[in-house]
Amino acid sequence: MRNTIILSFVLLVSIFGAVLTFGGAKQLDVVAREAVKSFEEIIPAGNASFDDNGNFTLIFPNGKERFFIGKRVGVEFDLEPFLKAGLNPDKLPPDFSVKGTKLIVSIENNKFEKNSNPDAVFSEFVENNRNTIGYHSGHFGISLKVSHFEWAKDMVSNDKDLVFMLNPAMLSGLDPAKLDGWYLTKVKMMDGNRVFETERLLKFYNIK
Amino acid sequence: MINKVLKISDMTCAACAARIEKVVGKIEGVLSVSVNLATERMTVDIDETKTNIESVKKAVEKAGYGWAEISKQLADEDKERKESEIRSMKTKLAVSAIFTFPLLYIAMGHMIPWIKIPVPNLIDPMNYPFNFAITQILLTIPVLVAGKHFYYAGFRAIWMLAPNMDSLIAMGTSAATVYSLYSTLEIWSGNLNFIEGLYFETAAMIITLILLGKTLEAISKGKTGEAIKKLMGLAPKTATIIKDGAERDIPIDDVAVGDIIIVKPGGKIPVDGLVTDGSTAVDESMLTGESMPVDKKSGDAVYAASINGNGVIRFMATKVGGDTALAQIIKLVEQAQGSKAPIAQMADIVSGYFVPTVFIIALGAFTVWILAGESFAFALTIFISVLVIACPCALGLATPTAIMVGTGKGAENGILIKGGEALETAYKIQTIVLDKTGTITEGKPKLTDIISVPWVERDRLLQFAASAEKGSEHPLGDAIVKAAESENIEILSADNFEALTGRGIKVSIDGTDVMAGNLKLMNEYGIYTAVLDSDADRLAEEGKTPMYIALNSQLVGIIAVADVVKKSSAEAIAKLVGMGIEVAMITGDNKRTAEAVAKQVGITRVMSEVLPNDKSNEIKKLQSEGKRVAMVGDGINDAPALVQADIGIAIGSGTDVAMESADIVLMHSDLMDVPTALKLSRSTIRNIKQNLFWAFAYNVAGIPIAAGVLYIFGGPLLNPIFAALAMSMSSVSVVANALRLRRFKA
Repeated sequence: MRNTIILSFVLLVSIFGAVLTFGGAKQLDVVAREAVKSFEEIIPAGNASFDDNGNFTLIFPNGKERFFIGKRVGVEFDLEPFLKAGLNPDKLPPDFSVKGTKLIVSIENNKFEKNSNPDAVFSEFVENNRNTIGYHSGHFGISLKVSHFEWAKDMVSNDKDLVFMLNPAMLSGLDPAKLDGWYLTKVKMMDGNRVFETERLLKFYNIK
Repeated sequence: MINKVLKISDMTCAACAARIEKVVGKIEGVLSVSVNLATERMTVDIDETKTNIESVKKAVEKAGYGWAEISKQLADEDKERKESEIRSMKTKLAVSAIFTFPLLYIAMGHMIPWIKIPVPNLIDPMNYPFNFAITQILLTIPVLVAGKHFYYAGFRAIWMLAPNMDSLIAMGTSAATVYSLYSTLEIWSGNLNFIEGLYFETAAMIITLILLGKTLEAISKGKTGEAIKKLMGLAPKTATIIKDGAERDIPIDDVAVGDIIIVKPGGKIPVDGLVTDGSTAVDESMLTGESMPVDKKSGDAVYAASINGNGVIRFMATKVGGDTALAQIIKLVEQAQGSKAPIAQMADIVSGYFVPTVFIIALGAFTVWILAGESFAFALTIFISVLVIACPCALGLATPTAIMVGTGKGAENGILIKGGEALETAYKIQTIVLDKTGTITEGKPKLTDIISVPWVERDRLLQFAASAEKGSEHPLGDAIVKAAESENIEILSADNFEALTGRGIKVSIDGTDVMAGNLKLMNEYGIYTAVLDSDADRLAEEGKTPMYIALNSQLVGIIAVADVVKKSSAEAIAKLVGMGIEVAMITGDNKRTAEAVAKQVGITRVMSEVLPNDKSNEIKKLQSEGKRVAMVGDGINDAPALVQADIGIAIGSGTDVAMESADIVLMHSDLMDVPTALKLSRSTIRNIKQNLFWAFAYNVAGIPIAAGVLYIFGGPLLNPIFAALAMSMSSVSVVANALRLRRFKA
């Protein structure tokens, strides 16, 4: 019995060792594969373009907000509604910045290479920044530290093609109730493998 | 008709036992069959003119089970196999637990907020769902291997159209595993919603919990058989025989009838026999309960497992192997443990239909929920929960475990209960009839008074009486002979000895007709007794038995003999009365003596001057009053009454006759064992009823909850893991409850 138990523990450790060793292989990464696949379906529905420096931009149907991939990756919003809601632009968290009339939420891109193919640029971003990509309840998302940008896995069956998510607690002075176009609601979030519920500001887009 | 007991292997639950009984019972010529799951024994009565044991064996094999002949070697192998089985179960449980707990944490740990141990990102369900699934598969495989016997036995039983408990577990966990594998493929294909469709931890936890229940069950069953093991351990393994003038140590199995065996001081007597040489005192307490060593000399009987005192004796083996008194006791206890109480037969019938019914309910519930619009995963969870919670294994254990422990406890206390039916009947006893001589009294009468007519000398009277009684086997006569011998009075030879049942004896001594007996005998032969009637009455009122002695049809005196009441008799009778049982006394003795003894011990209902052949009629009369009657006697001359009674209790005797005619055999001579035996019967039956209740309660309450009945009204669903836990705990609680009987105190 003793030998069997020892062998069992050895096998247990081996299983975890094998999973942790080989689990990062690209071929096994279903989330990365499907995230790229589903984003590729969104790109044609939006207004995608590249600038001279190879930065990729996807402008959303209202023409005001955009998602971008360059040396930094993030989302850009109109600043005015936030100021009207009481946001103090001088006390923004590190991932937030103001540029002119825009409020920008972004993270550093681990490896950016100039490209002219939107599918390829997103695929590269996912490959180089895999730990920012996740899946939850029918949406893939990019974690922008305390904020999230999400898109539907399947636009046909999902009524919320794109979702922006901000943490109102991080935005000094902001009164969420006065923020036009955004909804304050409770959402389930993942912390590691733990699910918890918290308040977030959400903005939806339907680009079908 | 022959009675055969076989060991049956590969049974896992009550449904297996019921199936074997069904297939064997169908064979023409099989008169009765009983399969005991707990002892793994099948007892079958066969009409040899119509069939034979070979056809029974073939039927058992065809049903998918194994058999083996019972032998001492098998008993030893059986013991080793049981211990090996427990070790194997513990190993499987350990392996299963080692992989199940990490699996459970990975699969469900995120639902428990207070668990802080993180999970590597590479197996996070939302980031790396395929790794999440593959890790679960890898952790589940060893668990399925540990529980592989459930699948082998379960699917084999389904194939043979006789599903059993293993079938329920095999189906439930297979459904969970197969659906989870399908979900894994869907995840690989990009359907990430199927992350919710992984039930590997459910299958693994079910296997682990069932293994836990089975392991505890195996350990507990080992303890229920301890009484038999103790009895078997009493006999020594070797014997020293004298062959060709030399001493040789041989295995006890090699001792033959007729061998001369030598036992040295402190040694154990290996087999039954008759002393040929030497004298000693032997401790026979394990057979008789008598704490004082019994003197043995040439011609006296000795018994296996009794302990020699300070002397060296040689004795000739008369009974060896399975014929010794100890072996007979062990056989009786084993048979008792293997027997069924009528209440158990009901449980067996239910078990036989239970498993197929559960399958139908599970499928029905699944279909209903699918039609109600719930998801496939929801309906599958219901299906698995119903299969798992409905396992009838507790039902199959409820009765045999209690009987095993109860009869084993009885055996430890010198109370041999012959079977489940005896237990159940003893539970219902309303009236108990005690024989006087040897039951209420010591059965060793002593001469107390000699009253002779003026023209006959006292010693002459005693000489005639003793000479007449020399050929008698009656204890009263024996007392007279012993008294004469103690006074060195010559015993004359007697001719034409005639025993007049219930009245006395008649012999011829030196041409003189001598009669010794009771008043009935005197009246029958017209012998005038008035001259000594008042003495006889006085003696009877003192609780003594007056015996009239007549020479040539003339009364010459009265000799009184008194049998002392046992010290514990009054207390035992008070206890019986306190238990709500009516106590009566039956005796062939005269009315006055009988009533005097009855008064001493607190009995008010007395049946006196009853001829031995009429004792069974008196029992019948009581039964015709609508009562359940127990009869307590010494088993030798009370046999017909013991058989007639609803429960026959033989006291202070390990004889073949007692064991044949009685339902309960009390090895010791203590009347206190009678209320103890009845109390033990009541405790055992109460225990069985508790077990059956809990076994049924788990199933009856669990099935509707598992099927989602409460959920319809907003209540909870029964998670398959909790279903497995509840099912395992039902078996464990039944066995644990049965083991409480080990704490029984008189």
